[in-house]
Amino acid sequence: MNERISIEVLSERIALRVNIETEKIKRFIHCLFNLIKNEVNEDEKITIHNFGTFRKKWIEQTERLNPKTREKIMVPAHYKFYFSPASSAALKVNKEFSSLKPVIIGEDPVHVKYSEAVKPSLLRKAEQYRARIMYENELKNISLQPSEERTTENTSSKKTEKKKNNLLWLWLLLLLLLIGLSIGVYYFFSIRNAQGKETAVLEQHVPKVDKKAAAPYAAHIARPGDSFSLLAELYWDDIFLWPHLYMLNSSLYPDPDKLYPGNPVNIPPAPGAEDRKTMEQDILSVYQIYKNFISLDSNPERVSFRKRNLYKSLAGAEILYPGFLDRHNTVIDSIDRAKAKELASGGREACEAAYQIPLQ
Amino acid sequence: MRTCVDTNFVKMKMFALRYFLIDSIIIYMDKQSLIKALSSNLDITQTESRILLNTTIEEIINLLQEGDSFREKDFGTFKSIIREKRMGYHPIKQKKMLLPKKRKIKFTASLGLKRLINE
Repeated sequence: MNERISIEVLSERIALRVNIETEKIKRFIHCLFNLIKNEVNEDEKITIHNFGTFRKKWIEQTERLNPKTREKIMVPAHYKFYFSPASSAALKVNKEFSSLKPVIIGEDPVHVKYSEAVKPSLLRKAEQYRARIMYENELKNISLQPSEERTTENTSSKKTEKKKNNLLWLWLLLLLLLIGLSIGVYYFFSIRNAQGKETAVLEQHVPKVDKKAAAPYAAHIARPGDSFSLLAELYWDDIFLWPHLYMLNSSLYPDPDKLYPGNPVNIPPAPGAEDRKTMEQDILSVYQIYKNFISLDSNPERVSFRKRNLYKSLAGAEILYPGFLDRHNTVIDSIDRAKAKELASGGREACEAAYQIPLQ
Repeated sequence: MRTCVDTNFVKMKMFALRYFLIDSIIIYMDKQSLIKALSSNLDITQTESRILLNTTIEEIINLLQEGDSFREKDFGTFKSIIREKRMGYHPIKQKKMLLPKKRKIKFTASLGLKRLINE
């Protein structure tokens, strides 16, 4: 009772029930909580059946009082982490006191007497209702006295008119619905066909001019240990072209160093000498992405790791296109230029050897 | 540690983005895709990871039932507290009522987790 149970004890308990090694179970538990953490950070919520839901909630900026000094403090807006257990889990935990149930005490209402609170409004309503009935009866008496036949004819004609009007409304509504549905279906299929037609047109009319546009994209599914530089080496035989590959897939991957296994990567045919301008722009945009990450990060290990990758990409650009660093001296800092030049001075082999150090 | 997301899960997101013309969409992960992600991360079969997930959940609930607590590093602590009996109020019948003693699950997030969320 009231003990803090370590992960070793928990894994031993699980190992007694399942024939699996304790170290494997330990790794499993660490992996499970890591996944939950990352999932909540990215998507705000995760539910596990029979256990509960983990979620984060945005809390706005608020004014609070310091209980000791009685001074006003502004608490900044932030995310808060919540865990709400599933009903089955809550019932299992409360098994000890499950026999106890809530008891209603006393007959008198607690705050306000219900009859007192509602009576005036009810009375008002009743008066209004009575007055309305009186008014309707008077109207009936007046209309019935002069001629009974006319009134009956009038009422029957009114009823038929009303019915016709109702039917017209129904038909109009149905027509509107049909038109809306047909527009929706046409719009949906036109988008689908347009994508197919675009590729077909390219294949029919311009097959000889540029084969690269018509050539199919190779789809690669990332495995553990993969990175953009490795994929560039594998598919294009040149490790320094990885910034171009990353920028093509940048909509899926905001961080160039994180390529999750299992996710798809689109690989177009290798760029040639004509694509030099786009290549240089891609390298510069990767440089700026790294700079942003470095300025936001506080972890010194991660910052040094990112800086190393930045120098490698710049050195690769210098080797591919000599004079790259001097041409873009307004965009790239002087310190980064000096470091990249040091790496590039070793030649192509030395720079490629720097990539062979494991990424993580 | 590297994490892995189920491929079907990503495909569903891509489909929704392409055909329904929505700029951003949130599809929450369920237990099945969690099991798939675990098995691909640790190189174990899906049945094995399902059994392990169910038993860990059961064991954590069992230790909470006994009054113990469990702490995972950089995530938080699960513990159970006893809430004493108290006077409540029935909102429909508008009458006082006595709520009995109860054991509740309580989770407190660690500092690392709070920092990660507010990065």
